[in-house]
Amino acid sequence: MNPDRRMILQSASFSLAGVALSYLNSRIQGAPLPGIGTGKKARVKRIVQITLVGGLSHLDSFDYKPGLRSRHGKSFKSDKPPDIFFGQIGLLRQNDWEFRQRGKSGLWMSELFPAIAGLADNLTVIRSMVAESANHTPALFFENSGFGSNGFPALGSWISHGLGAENENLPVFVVLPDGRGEANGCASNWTSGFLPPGHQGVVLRAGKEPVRDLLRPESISKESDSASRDFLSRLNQENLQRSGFEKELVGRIRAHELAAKLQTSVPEVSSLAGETQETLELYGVDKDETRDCAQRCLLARRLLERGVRFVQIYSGGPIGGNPRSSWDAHENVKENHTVEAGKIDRPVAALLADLKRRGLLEDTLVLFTTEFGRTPFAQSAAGTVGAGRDHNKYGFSIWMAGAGLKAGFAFGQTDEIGWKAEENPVPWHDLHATILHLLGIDHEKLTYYHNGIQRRLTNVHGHIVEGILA
Amino acid sequence: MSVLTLSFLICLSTGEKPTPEGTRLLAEHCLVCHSGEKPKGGLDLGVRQKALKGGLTGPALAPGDPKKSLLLEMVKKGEMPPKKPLDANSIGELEQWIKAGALYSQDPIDPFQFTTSKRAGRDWWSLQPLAPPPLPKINNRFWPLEPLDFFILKKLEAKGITPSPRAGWEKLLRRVSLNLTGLSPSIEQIQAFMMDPSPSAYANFVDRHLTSPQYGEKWARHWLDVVRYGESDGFERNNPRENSWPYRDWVIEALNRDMPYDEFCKMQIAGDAFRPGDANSLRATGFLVAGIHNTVLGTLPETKELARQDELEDLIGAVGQTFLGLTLNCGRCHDHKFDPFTQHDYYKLTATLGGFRPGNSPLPDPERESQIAQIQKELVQVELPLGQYTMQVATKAGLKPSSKLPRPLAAWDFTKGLKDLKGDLDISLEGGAKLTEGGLVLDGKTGLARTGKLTSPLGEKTLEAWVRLGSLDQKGGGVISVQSLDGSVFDSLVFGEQDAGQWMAGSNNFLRTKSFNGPKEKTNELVQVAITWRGNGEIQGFRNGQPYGKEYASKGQVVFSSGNSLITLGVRHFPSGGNRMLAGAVARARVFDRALSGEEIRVLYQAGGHEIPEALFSQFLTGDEQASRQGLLARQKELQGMRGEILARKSSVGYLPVSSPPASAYFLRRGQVSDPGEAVLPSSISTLTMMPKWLLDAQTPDGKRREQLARWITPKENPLFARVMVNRVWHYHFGAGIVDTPSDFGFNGGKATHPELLDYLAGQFQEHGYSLKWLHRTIVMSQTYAQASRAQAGALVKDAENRLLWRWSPKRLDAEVLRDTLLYVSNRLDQRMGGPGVSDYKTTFNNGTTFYDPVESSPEQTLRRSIYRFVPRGANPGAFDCFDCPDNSASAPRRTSTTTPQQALSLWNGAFTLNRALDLQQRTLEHCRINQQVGTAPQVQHLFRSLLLRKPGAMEEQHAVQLVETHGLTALARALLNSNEFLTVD
Repeated sequence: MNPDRRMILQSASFSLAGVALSYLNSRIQGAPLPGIGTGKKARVKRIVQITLVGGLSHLDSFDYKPGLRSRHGKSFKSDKPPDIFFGQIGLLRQNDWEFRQRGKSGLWMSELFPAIAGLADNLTVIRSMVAESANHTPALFFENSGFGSNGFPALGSWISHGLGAENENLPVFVVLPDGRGEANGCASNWTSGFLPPGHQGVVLRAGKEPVRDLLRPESISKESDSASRDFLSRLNQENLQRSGFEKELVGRIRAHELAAKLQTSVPEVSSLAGETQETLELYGVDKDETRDCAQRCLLARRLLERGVRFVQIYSGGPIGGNPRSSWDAHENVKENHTVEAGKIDRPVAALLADLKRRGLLEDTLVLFTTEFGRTPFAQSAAGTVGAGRDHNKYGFSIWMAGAGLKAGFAFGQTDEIGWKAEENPVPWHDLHATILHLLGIDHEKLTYYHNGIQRRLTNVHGHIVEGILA
Repeated sequence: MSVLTLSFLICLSTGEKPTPEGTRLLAEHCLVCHSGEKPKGGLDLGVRQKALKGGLTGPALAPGDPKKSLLLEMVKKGEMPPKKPLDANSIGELEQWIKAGALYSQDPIDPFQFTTSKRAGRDWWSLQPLAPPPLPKINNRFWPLEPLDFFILKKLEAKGITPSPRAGWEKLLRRVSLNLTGLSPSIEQIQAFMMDPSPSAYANFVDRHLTSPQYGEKWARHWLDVVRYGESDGFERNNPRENSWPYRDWVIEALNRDMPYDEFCKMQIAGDAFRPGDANSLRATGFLVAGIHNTVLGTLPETKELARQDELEDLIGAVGQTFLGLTLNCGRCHDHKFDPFTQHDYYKLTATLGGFRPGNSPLPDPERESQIAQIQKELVQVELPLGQYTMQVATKAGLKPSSKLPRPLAAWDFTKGLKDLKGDLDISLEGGAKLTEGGLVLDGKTGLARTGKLTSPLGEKTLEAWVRLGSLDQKGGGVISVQSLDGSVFDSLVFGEQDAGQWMAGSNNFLRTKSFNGPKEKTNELVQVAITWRGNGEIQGFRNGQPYGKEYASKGQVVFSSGNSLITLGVRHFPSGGNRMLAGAVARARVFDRALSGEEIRVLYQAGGHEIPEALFSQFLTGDEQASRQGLLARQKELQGMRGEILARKSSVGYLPVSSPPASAYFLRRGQVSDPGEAVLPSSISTLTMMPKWLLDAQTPDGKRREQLARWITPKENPLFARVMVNRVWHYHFGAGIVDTPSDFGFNGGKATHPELLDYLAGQFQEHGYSLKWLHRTIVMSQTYAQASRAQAGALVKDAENRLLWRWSPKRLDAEVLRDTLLYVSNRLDQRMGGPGVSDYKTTFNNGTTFYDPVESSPEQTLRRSIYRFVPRGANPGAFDCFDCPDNSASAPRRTSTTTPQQALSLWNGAFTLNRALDLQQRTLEHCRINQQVGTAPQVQHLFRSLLLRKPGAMEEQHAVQLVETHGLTALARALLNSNEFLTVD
């Protein structure tokens, strides 16, 4: 067996405080684990993922299907009942948004995301994604962790485990949920699972205290706080000597020092006060419709700039409800997607543009993903063309942008009506393997022992999608 | 077996004895490719006859003639096995084997028979019978105190390491106390030890801890980690499980009773079958449904089946890992890659364990029923004369109530006022609610009425109201409800929610809501409506004294705890707003703490819902009569409280397995639900050869299948059962097991550091009737356990990880131990045991999904031991979760131990620690006042003693006094609570 290196370090002891400190630093700062590399230079240092909850209609956004338009109102044929969700199969429904070719690359994109479409030459669209499940929460868990149930470490946690921190004064993995609420599964979406809990995603909240217990409570004066701190440090020093310089004790002393640094670094990064008016407007912080997403996209850029490795921005809260607060357009795609896209199009485009003009896109990866797509047939009674679409796990689109990728490029194809991925299907495990590859990590080597198995993000699967790499 | 016999016969007939070496080499290096249905190159080496026949390139073996054996040639050239050629020694063995006739010691070769460099076979160490060895010989015969010390010392002596000296008494007592009960010892306990002149003072100290109820609370936490116990479903809806705690209580009670471990296991796997009808044993089966469960599955049968198979994988993993240390879940799609467990074995287990679904199930409990009956009997005796007084006053006052009127817990006449006419649940108004002559008028927007907190729990109940609807097409307004303070749990008398125009029993997430299918309400006149909720989950509606629609069975009742619940009118549940608000007027309303009969409700209707005002009693009764009546009322209240307490502590419902009729299980090729193979019957698995085989027929009911499995797991002949548990207990005491992967004794698991010790302890554990308390005692009484923790340079070099136990490995307190000890030392720990969990989460129900966010400052009623905290899944982390609390969606047989800045922040700035610092200040000042100690120094000394169990050093005291005199005692308490000394068991 190959127990986790850091666990060994944690249980090991060292006779000299100096030795202990050097090992400890490597743990807290988190130097990359040895032996997980691809042998090639990492193209990507940090990642921002915009996660659309509920299922974006690829047919109305990134996957142009003239064949669907010509078959509007025709019946959908399938030899066995498709694995959708509600099981209602109406007639085929054409796209609700017009498509046209964009930029120099001529990438086909609809009018749904006009601002993002303006940056088409930067995008790498995968039009042949396939999901394991057509059920929201398992599908979202798959997207995040490669497994369909609660309890498996998220992509960001694996990256934290593998690469550690670039900036020890900030968390490695930050999550920014939609202002309307967290997605179903809540913290299970950014759990560290069986990895040490320090790797789990940290949710930065709005307001004065973005992280729980970050600041000195108001009831305690600054003087009292520092006097207690001094006393504590003296107590700990004496205790350390008595213990024979126990490694773990050194660790906790150091954790207190780091905590003190977090108290200044987190509020600094979380405040948008230093941003120019031009930037605020670029993201759409000034508009009610876009404010929530704009603030989070801007915050994401600030975090990435300061060395946070993985920021996940959610678009969409819980699945249920009326009106919906996610992309789950069962009732009416036109209405639902208009509202949802209106919230994020401008902020996401701004983030991409801002990263680019600051040179960050050179070694940053932007991911724009959704748990599955939507059906080419309407979700309505047989023989009718309703306004909504059901879940489609057989084929859907996502896009990526940034380091190491062919830009202005579309990969893979679905069939004529956009129902199933036909050419180069890409399951999540492959995308995960590719993301790790870009980070310089071999997905088969980034493992952690848990209850009998060397667990991996990619389970026993995963092929690098060579076709999208530059 | 027949195969083995056959090959044995073959040997006899040839007169030669096959040696296992050659066969083993083939199994280890060749069979991965050259066996099975499609062997590579057409060469199947798994069967001798086929090997002799050979593959595409001709015969592989020429018995007796190594030179003509193609196999040996390829091996010698290094072409086979590809990538990893055999070493010279193995090649030599192979050659010898061919020379001797290339006889198979087993034919066909069972690939699981032998352990190879890649996988474990049935000869794997942990699958062999226990072989308890004699005590080893050691040099320093004066060191050991317990037999286990011989084994530890033996290894240390072999390595040339001297064990550490004994720890100081305070350290040792703190260690034992924290490890056995999860609480640091009190000053009084230490003093009692110091005053005990007996040579067995330490043993007495240990026994006091082992017999204290806190022992079960501490060790149940470890067990719940292993069995992935969580109190919400996970997945999309993540509904809370309000009735899973009876299992948690069972674990605590079983550990405290020192239930033999084999019984402990049997009850959890099949308590319902071993002891039908016994509520205690039923509770134990909560183990089987402790994991996640998806309630949102779409429409396709295949999707549902897939979710079902996922759930079975989780269950088989839990059973295998918990009781056998085997990761049996790995056999779902293929034979286990590392351990001798086939895919067929796996599906035998799905047949054995797949006969139930999770659900709420009644917990019949004769003891509880008889206690309740006793109370009811006395209640009748109390209520009879009370009724007579009522009659007497009514007659004198010219009123005509029936003597059969049941006594409510609370009653309001809103035409008169807001006072509770029966108890102390007075009403206050909020928003657009007004009191008029016609009663309580509610505007349907913001108006509502509410009581203070319930002072006794409410389980079985009746809500009754006299209501005039503002509009007949409103949807979902609550007339009267009982709800948790945050509104996340509620039962409500609702008008027109899912069924327009009908009366309904509203509930959180519709968990207890179904349609009565009653007639639509047609009138805006005053009507009496009532709903009864029975303990068994039955819910019935009434309108104007008559049953309303059809009664139905729900998943079971909820007990609304005292202190955390209230009654509301005009709102379905908090928060207010939306369609939850009622437009209309309520004239009178009553709450009963039992489900009234139809007859009683009819009588209530006839009496018009009027209560006799208290003033009339004073007017018409004599002084003596009034005194007697007051006494009866007090007793009635007391009895009602007792009944409520019993209902709350001993649930009548549990979240448990619910058996389905026997059904067939199928082998699934590659684990695919779309590709089922033959039907599989419940039967034994092939992994443990010493265990008897069994096979049950397809008609065997669910419980009997599980019972058979439990009977197979628990006998003394099964070496894994005792080994795994002995190692678990060892792991929790020392921080690492003898095998450092407590739920995995297979190929990928850790290697035993002291295999003889493991077998010795396992054997003794069996000898001592699987007594866990015996095991604890022998461990904590040992010399090994009592060693000091200070590191020694020489030993560090030889064994940096202390796997040989030359000292005590210091470790940080677990999250729960830390929280509980903080409460304990600050005198705030509420030590009441059992019952529904206390939640320090804010529960939000957002569009069909339940979300859990920790509250900033823990409410008073949650200051109980952590084991009683409500533990949902996927919650946002609370104050102590960062101290390595595992994600309870998966089994956590060992917790990681990390040190992070978030921990430092949480403990330094968090409200929980600060409140404890304030408590400590108060407690210390009080102590000094009572003992007439003046000045700062005694305060400092007392704080040090309470938290660190020692006096401050001279310099420390000086600095501490200075700190206290400038910034107060809380400043010192805060520092001490954060100190490494406090946070470490050393």
